[in-house]
Amino acid sequence: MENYTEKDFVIDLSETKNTAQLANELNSILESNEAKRKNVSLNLGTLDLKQSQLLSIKALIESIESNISSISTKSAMTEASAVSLGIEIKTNIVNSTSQENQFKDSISEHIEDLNNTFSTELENKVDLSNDSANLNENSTIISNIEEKQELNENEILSNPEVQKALDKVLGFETEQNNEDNFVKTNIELIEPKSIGKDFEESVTNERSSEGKYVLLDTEGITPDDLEENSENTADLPTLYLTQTLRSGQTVTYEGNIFIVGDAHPGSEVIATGDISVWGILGGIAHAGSAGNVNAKVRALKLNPIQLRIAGLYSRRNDTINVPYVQKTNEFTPEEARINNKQIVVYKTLRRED
Amino acid sequence: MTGRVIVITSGKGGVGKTTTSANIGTALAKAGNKVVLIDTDIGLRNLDLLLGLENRIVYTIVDVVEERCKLRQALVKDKKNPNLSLLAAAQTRDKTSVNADQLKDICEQLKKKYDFILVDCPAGIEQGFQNAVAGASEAIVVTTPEMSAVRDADRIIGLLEAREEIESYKLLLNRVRPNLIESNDMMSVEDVVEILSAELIGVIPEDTGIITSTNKGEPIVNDDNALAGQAYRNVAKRIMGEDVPFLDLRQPKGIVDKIKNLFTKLKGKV
Repeated sequence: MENYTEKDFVIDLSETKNTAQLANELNSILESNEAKRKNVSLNLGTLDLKQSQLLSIKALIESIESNISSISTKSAMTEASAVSLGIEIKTNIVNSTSQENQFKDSISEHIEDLNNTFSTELENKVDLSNDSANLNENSTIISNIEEKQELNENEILSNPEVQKALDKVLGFETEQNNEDNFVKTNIELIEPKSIGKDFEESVTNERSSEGKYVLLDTEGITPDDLEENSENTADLPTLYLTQTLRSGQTVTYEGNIFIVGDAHPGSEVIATGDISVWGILGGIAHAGSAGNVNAKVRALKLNPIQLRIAGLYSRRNDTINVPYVQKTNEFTPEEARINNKQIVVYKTLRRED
Repeated sequence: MTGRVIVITSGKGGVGKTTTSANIGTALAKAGNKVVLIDTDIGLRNLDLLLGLENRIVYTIVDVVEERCKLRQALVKDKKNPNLSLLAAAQTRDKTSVNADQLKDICEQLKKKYDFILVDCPAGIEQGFQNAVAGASEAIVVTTPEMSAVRDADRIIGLLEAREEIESYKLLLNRVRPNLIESNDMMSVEDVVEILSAELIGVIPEDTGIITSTNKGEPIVNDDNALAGQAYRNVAKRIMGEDVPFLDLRQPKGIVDKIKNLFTKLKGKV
């Protein structure tokens, strides 16, 4: 694995057509841990960027302790902006090999954490990833490493042993996932390892530097009168709201809550059943507030300050400082639910066709 | 142990009460004191954002008052400094949810365990202000070198003097721009002190770093290079009883400034 010394992390944004799309795309890439502390090469395609816009992109990348090493662009305006900011211009930085190397790098990082017992499966996996990378060479360039992993994961699914190893690499609970339906229905687990198994464990073993959410480290915060139950939320009444929830507004309901609109940071949505937001969920959400462990929180974009289900409370990681999400037409719906005494966020897989 | 309860107030909004509270609190905690910050701006809380603690708040001061949790449970520890805790305001309620006696009671309880209790006061002179000053024995009046802010500070000082519990009050002059003072476009520090005839505890220069530090949720005192951070650290030292000389806020004039000045003069003529 030492052969892959390519340090640059390539972010390919050449497919984006406008700045809003770019911001959203960049946001989702920077949220993943892969982009941290790297030299980033940006491929901006034909997009025209002003100096101020490029500066804010630079600030965004620097906020995750990375820096822009070079930029490749076909626009004269962007090139001029980059020159004025002292960023190196490179032509054709994105090719399949650097992406491949990047992908292999990320795999080798995972591999280092792994037990030796899985070494054989791992080799299988790396071989497969090579194959899949070759397969993709002529197809559209994939901008997101995470998506690439998803693709590979699907291709490897046929081999249960490799799947097992991959689950282990990504920190998933192996036995659970093989039985679970979500793999077959194209729903994918994201970063479940960031959320501790249960509250007590996470207090002593808080891994705040990883993942999007961590369990709260405050002592004894959950109310004592919480009675754990697993009622079917479909049987509960539903409150239907068509409005934007603003800072300071609270919705509390015994049943499910459905909101058509956004829930801004500073708002609170508390339901004994499910919470569904057809928009961006940015405030505090507490599903199953009376202790229903079957309750779920779903939104077009989950960006809550705190996510609580029954007696499990999690907070947004400090390293993710995105109070407001850029609105675009390209959201991937997400759902949070309790799986094996931890809050897990599931995301539907974006189709490539 | 008996802690000191200091209320940070101003009358006028937007002069930097919350920024001052966050920075002085952090500086005092960094110096080894046990500090609690109380946000009394119920309904429009901001102190948690400035400290980057918004995601940790489960219980607020209203929950404490309405006995839904214990005071200890509602104190949110700072992520960097274990000496610093925050008692957050509720965002979904208003100022009438808490009364002066309840706040006094909370301050009395906290006094036993902490060295400093800093109370961040809301703007205005209504219930929110009355609550915030109820438990305090000292006050810091924040103002900026503008006529409106100075006038409001004068009103606040009058109200503070009328209260027997407030033993002393000090003046903190915020957002000072030395080059504007030099060109006679801004009231000087001496002018403000003379108008208000109050003792000065600090002069904080206008610093663009405040904006980024607010957005990041990281008080500027943690930045060793920022002039405003240094000024706030000095204020904290003066609160602890040290004798620290006031900073010279004037930036050394280089060739760049001279050229800039020339351009602004030319602009004025055209």
